[in-house]
Order: sequence, then structure tokens, then C-alpha cells
Amino acid sequence: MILTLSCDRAARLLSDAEDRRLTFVERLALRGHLFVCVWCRRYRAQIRLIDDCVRHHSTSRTGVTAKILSDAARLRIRTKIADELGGPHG
Amino acid sequence: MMDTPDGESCTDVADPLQWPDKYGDALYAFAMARLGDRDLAEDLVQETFLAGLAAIDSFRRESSLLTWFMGILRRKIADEFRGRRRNPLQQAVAIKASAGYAFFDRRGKWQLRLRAWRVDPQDVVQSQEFWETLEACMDQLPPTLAAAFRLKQLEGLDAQNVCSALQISSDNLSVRMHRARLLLRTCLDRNWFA
Repeated sequence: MILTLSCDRAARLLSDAEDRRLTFVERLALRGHLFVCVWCRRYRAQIRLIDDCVRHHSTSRTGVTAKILSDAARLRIRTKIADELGGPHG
Repeated sequence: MMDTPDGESCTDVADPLQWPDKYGDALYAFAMARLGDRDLAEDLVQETFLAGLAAIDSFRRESSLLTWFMGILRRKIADEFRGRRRNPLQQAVAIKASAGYAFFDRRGKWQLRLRAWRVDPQDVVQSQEFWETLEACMDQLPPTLAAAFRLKQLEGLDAQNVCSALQISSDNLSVRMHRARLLLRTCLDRNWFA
């Protein structure tokens, strides 16, 4: 496997490496391939840049508002439901 | 707790005004993770409740009300992805590379000649314009890839949670992330570095 790693498998491993720790054998194979393949070295730099950029904006935007429904929205939705029910204001 | 599940869902069904408080946050979080757009997520939660209200007679107790709402919401999100043509930027950066995933030849070698991106990574990461292009590229991804990539990278869920949210295996997630990155790279190469 080590000597025969192709670019498509290397690219998959490079992607995996962003998401999990590679096994020893995988790391070894990848290192060998990257040593001889300029395309995959470029690919690694580029997907790292993409991931860094997404992470950068992810931390700056996951503020307090992100995870739960705002009070305004909650109220608006409840009003809509009340309207739909024929409402108490009838 | 678990003592009278029937009685509990009876009450819920009978009092839709309680739905936003009881189920709103869960549905909203689910929609946010997939759409990444607050206004849209709120709208879809509202539509989900209204659709639920209209179809409440078809609700069967073998599932919980939340599961039932989730099913409705899922379909609405799928519709949303299908009909996405709103953002003009998305059209400006329409990409063709998504067809067929022909990035490698039969022997697994790169089909495309990857040119180097001659930029300072630090600058690019901070650049608002680059981010907007990247976001537009994310919107161009096939929905299944976009959902995986957004949940994992943008929402910062760990792999296990992404898999259970999307009901896919970890191997499947790895493939989706791989394809998403291939497409995003190509999209940026064409639209930013061109």
C-alpha cells in the first residue's frame, strides 16, 4: 500500500487528516506520496486554507443567537399558530 | 418522565400554543445547522408548525410529536435546497465542476493541473470577500455534501454527531467531506484565484 498510494487515495487521506488522526500506516503512506507529488502538496495547502477560513468564520459567528429560537421569533410563531386556530381574539 | 406518554402527547396535540416553547429550539437548531441562515431557519420552523397544525389528524402516536415535526421540517429543508436560486452571488459563481466528480483519471491521478495559490494564507482567511466567495461555493455544493460540510466545519459538531444527525456511517461522512473539499477547492480556484 505504501508504494502504490495514488493521488485520489492521497487526497482522501488528506481530507480525513483534517477530521481525524490518521493511523501510523496512513501517515507513513501519505508522507511518502507527498514527498514525490507536488499536486497533492498543493491540494493539502488549499484544503487547509479552506478549512482554516471556515473555522475562522465559524467561531466569529456562533454567538449567543445561533442555537436557540429568539424570543421575537417564538412570539411571532405563537401568534401565527393562534391566528390559524381561529384565535382567542375572535 | 415516561409514566404517561400517551397523556402527554394528548396534551401537546391539544395545545399547539405550547409547541414553540416545547419544540421550537430543537427544530430551529436542526434547521440552522443545515441552512446556516437564521431568518430562513425561523421561517421553516414556523411553516413546520403550521403544516403540523393543518395535518394534526394524521399524526399517529407511535412516534413522538417532535419526531413527527422533524419529518415535516426535513422535507421543507429538502425543498429549500432544491429551489435555491435566491442569492444573486450564487449565480455569479455557478460552477460546472460538480458534474461527475471527474477529478482523477482511471489510475487515480489528478485530471486537473492544480496550480499553486500564491497568497498569504493569513490575509485570505481574514478576507471578507474571500469568505463570501467560499460561502457562495458552499451553496453550490450538492445538498448532501453541503449539509455534512456545514455541520462539521461551520457548526463545529464532532464527526459522531454529524453522522447521527444525517444518519450516515463514518465512512460515508469521510467520503462526503472529501468530495465537498474537492468541489470547494475547484470552485475557489475558478472564482477567486482565476
